[in-house]
Amino acid sequence: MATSTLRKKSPNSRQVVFTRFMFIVAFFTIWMLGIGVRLVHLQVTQHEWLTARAAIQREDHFKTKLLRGTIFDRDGRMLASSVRAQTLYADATEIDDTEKTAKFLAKVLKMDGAALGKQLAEAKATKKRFIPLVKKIDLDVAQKINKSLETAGLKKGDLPNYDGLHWTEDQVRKYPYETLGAQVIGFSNAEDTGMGGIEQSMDELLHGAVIKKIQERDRIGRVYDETIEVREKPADVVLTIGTNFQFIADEALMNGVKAASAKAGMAVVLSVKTGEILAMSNYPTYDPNSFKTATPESLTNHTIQSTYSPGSTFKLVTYSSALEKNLFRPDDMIDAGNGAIEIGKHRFTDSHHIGSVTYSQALAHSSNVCAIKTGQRVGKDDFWSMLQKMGFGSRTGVELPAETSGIVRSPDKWNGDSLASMSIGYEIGVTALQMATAFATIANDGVKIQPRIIKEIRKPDQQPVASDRPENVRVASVETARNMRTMLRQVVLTGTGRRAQLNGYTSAGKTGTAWKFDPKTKRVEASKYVSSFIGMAPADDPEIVIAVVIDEPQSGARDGGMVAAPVFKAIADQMLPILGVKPDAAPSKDTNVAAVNIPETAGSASDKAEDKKKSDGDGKAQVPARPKNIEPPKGAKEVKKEVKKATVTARKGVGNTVAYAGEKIRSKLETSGVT
Amino acid sequence: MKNETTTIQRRGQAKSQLPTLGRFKVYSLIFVCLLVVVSGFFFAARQHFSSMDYSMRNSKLRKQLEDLESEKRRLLVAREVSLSPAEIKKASRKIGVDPAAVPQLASVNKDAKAAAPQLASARSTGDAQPSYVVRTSYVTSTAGPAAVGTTKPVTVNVVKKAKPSSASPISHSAE
Repeated sequence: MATSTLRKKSPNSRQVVFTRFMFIVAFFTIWMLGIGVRLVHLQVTQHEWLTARAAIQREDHFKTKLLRGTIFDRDGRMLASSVRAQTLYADATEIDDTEKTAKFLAKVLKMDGAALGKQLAEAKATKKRFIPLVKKIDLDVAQKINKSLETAGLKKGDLPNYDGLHWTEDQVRKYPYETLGAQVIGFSNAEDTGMGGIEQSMDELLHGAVIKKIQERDRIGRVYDETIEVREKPADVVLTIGTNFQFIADEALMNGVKAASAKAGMAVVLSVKTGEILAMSNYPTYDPNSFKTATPESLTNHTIQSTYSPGSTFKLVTYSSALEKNLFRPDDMIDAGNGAIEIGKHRFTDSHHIGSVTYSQALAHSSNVCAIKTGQRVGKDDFWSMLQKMGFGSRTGVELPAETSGIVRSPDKWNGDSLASMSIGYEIGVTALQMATAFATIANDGVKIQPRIIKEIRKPDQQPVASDRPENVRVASVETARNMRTMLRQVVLTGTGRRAQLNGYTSAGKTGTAWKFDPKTKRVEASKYVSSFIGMAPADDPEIVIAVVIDEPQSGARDGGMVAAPVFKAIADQMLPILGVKPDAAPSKDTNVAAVNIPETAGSASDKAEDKKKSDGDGKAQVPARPKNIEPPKGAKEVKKEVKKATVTARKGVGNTVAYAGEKIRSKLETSGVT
Repeated sequence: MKNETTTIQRRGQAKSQLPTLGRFKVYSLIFVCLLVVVSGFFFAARQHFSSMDYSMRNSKLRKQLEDLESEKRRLLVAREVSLSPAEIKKASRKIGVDPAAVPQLASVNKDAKAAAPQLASARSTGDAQPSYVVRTSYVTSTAGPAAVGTTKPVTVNVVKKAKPSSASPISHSAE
């Protein structure tokens, strides 16, 4: 009986154990099932949402701009370059106390606290996440700001260590040479877009592409993975201008404008053989590093964007077209008559009577009468043809923005006296670069060259690409060009351009003094001048052409020979040795030329009533100053008397000319043993 | 009565019938497998964290490279600023040197240096001004009427009729 009881008990206890065991198993099974279901829910059903959220938490998306391309000069000097900068911004959603933050920031960054506080409060209300505080500052300044904004005890993944403030990458454009060639280089604005000059015309090449950067960060903000979108880097541009040449031109122009108390000035230096622009100056100028202080006047590149009446410098076209037609030779005679000529309703006059002279002398003395007579012989069609061939009325094609084609009317719109006016440089608007190109054509034996300012373009990981050089065009024969150069040489030797004589080099050129055209009244203003000199050096085989234009000279003599020619001399004297040009003349003993002032007429009046004989010099012979340490020679008192007697004005007639006066002085000096 | 046994009981009987050595083998096999799995986990974790560490170092180095390139660019710009004529003028004024007497630019053109001595000898007598090669400013003494009456020796430029090659005091004899 006991055994059966025992037997009944052991199966029961085992059963119990088994049952309990199964309960535990069931519990764990259900538990695991629950976890499994949850896992499936999270990893399958909510997979996409969770993946996206994880990505948001660990990834930071940035957009940065590649640094803008650099602009170099012909010698590899950096004219414009971008450097990394930083912009400090506030994320209003991360700032708890906007007022406190604003006060602190105002103290550190020296800003208006009240305005900043208001701005941050508004941004927080509208949940703005980007409020720029300080833009485009250098990295060392950024480091100083970081130190000032350091908050003790705060753990933040990025700098500055201050709640709600962050740095974003930016870039700032630097112009190391400041005002040098500012109008040529241009500047870039806050969005790193080129404005003006090469910055604008080559903006597509220089512009840095925006690249996307994805950074993966850990919990405390350390970057452990980065993905950068690959984009093409911007190109660099190499210009034909040289900083040394540009400096020489800028300084000479500035001094010339100041000496004449002029309103403005411009100068272009062109290489004759290659068409490269070695310098392009404008005064007044500005500093692109702080272009906000610039005036619209100083921002403009007047050498290509402004037109002016060329005056007597345009006689190059008149005489070239006549030479091309074999109408004369430089030594042939031409009669200037009584120094006046009537064409249509207008009377054109010379500043002083020269009588019958050679064509060379006619150009040297800038006789309007002779030029008009020559123009009449050339005829309308041939004159127009030469004018067009030399590039007037069309853009030169230089790689700069906003170039004007000038103001040139087609022959069907000419009046009866238009040919006469244009023969002496009126009724036409030209740019300084167009005039320089025309003179360069004559300097280059009649072959017109394309002026250019870009030497090459350097793309990353590629060979530098030279700028396209279009084929040169023959405009005039070699003989025409040489004869013209001979005539231009006389202008400098004996004519109105004596102040363009160089030290050790020969030069040739033409002065120009024109009354300014007022677009409001549509008439020329006799009180305002544009004085110019365009020349080449050396005279026989020119290397450079320099065009100098001075706008509204006020003080002293105002003709091109007195105002612009010295600027030409200052530029050429310094530039030719740097270019390695061998001197082709003996150095002058004295560079201080107190020449007999042969004034250049400003041109004809607009009508008979305004036909005043305007000349900027009074034609008086300059009395030489006797050095103090030289004893007066015998007969010096007599000489002085003669000089006083020989003083002439341009308004006296033939027989009492400057030449006659000079001849008398010379003979007296010789006989008294002074010379 | 039949001897009825449950499955558990039968398994228990079977178990008790296994030799001790076999049991040891089974347990050791399980242990080795567990060891391999755990080691694998440790190895994977180590790989993961070292890759994270290398990635972070890589990022830091890349950042450092970018910073150094920025610094290099900044220094190049600073170098150009220091070579600019405006800075040279300022520096020359600071040390008391007349800016007009200072060569305008550190020219990269070697020919200029070779040319300068040759031309520097061609000075006009009595001319106190420095060589025209290094002259940077417009020579105000040639401004015409203002020059009259000064003590500088000047010459009357006599105009002769009709002969361009006539001897003029300032004309170049090469003509």
